Amino acid sequence: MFNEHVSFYDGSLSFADKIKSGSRIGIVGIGPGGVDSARYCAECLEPAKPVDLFSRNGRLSKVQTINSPDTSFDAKIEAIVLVLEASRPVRLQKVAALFAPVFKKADPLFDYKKVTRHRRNVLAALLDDIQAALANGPPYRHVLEAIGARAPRIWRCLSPESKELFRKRYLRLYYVFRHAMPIEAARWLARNLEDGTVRVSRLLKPIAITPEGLVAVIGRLPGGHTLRTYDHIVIATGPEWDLKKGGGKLIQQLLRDGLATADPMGGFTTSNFELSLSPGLFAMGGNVRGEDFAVHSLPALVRHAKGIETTIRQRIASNAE
Amino acid sequence: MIRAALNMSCMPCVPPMGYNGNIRVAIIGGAAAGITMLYEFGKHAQAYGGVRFVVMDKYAGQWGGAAHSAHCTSLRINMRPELHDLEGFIPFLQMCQLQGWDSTELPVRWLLGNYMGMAFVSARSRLELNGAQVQLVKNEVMAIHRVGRRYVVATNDGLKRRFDFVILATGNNPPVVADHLFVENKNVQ
Repeated sequence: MFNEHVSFYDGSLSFADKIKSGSRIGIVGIGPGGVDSARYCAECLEPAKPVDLFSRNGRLSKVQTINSPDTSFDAKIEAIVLVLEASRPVRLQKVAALFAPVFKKADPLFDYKKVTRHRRNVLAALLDDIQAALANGPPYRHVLEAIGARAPRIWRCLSPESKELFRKRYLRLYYVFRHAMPIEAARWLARNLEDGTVRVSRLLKPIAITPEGLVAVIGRLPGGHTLRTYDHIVIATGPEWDLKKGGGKLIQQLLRDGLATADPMGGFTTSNFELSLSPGLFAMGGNVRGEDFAVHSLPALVRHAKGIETTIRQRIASNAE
Repeated sequence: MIRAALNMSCMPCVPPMGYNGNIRVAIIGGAAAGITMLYEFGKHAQAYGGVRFVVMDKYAGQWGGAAHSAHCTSLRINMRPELHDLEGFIPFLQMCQLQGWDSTELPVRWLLGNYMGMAFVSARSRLELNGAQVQLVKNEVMAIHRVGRRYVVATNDGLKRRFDFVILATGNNPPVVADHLFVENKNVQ
């Protein structure tokens, strides 16, 4: 039942053959994989019902905000900090209104007047953490900025204690806010949300596997819930960073034989992309997340490749001398 | 101009000494990560005369890997096109236009797979013109063992190859089911 009705999005559309036309489809995850899956299902599979996307906070990802080089994350953080320092206590709706120009500039779909209770809660959680960080003093800015586009550079400067602090207190927020959706994808989603072919909501309970199908309890914003039954669920929650949980056979063999160790933040334990236990053995991409953290995309691969190539070239040259 | 583009040095192709003068580099993974790696070696091709590069992937030749090979117009790249440009190579968007992409929307993903394929050809040419060898092996890597200062890479065809340097460019690991995402036959009311 599970294998027949649940698929994984791993960057490909390998799940496509498993889903019959006219199926009721739910997709867990609203990052790039979730949006890709929704777009494919809505356009190519003639689903019987709207395709449901489930996100952690029940809302869409930010459009071109935190991860985008086009918008200034520093400016947004500065704005939040200034508002907090200048006016506390302050009503949350007022804060949202003050943030509106910042958000709106980067996210045309954002309308602060329609800020939902849940979104306000997420915002409140973010503000609470910022307040706590302010009270603690440095290195709160480093921790916050590690969420943004400058993550790799700053990440390397963090002490193990700061990384642990990030993992415990901020990783959840990072997952909520990390996806910078391209504007084209956001427009497609907005169009389809309006048409009713795609819906975005939140899972309130585990999905029940029943003979009638996969039954989910869906949170409705601003409140309440409903039951929906699906024929197929696509898991599009993004790569598994923890190598102990998700690595393939080769990765497991390297860990088992002591050639590699798993970094608590994901990927292998590396130094300048070289495995700590194995000189001459390098990793790049998602498998160096512990060292580089923001390992998505081609620019990250180029950064890793440059580092590895330089090391190997120097080593060959020094041996030739 | 072509010569400059290919970074063809007039330096003699002398194999580097050390590592017994017979250096072998394995790149495990032949999609975006592996090709980006080979391309970076290609940019400094004059330093790798005599070096043997072996790119291993069970789907070798499917340049975009799982993420950028599916021929589906619903799948688009997820970042601005210019962020995919490889240094010193034709810009990604220009390559898309050459292949007939004339939309202002984000290009479909398999065009990036094609771009990676072109980058592989370019890198291979640069390296081979400078005396290196590049081999593409269509096999799955099953295990890596350390023998002295080298590594032995075993593939599913039973062969074992020795390398001085090994680069794991296997991409992201697929998602796993989060704890408590599913329950069996529970009353959800």
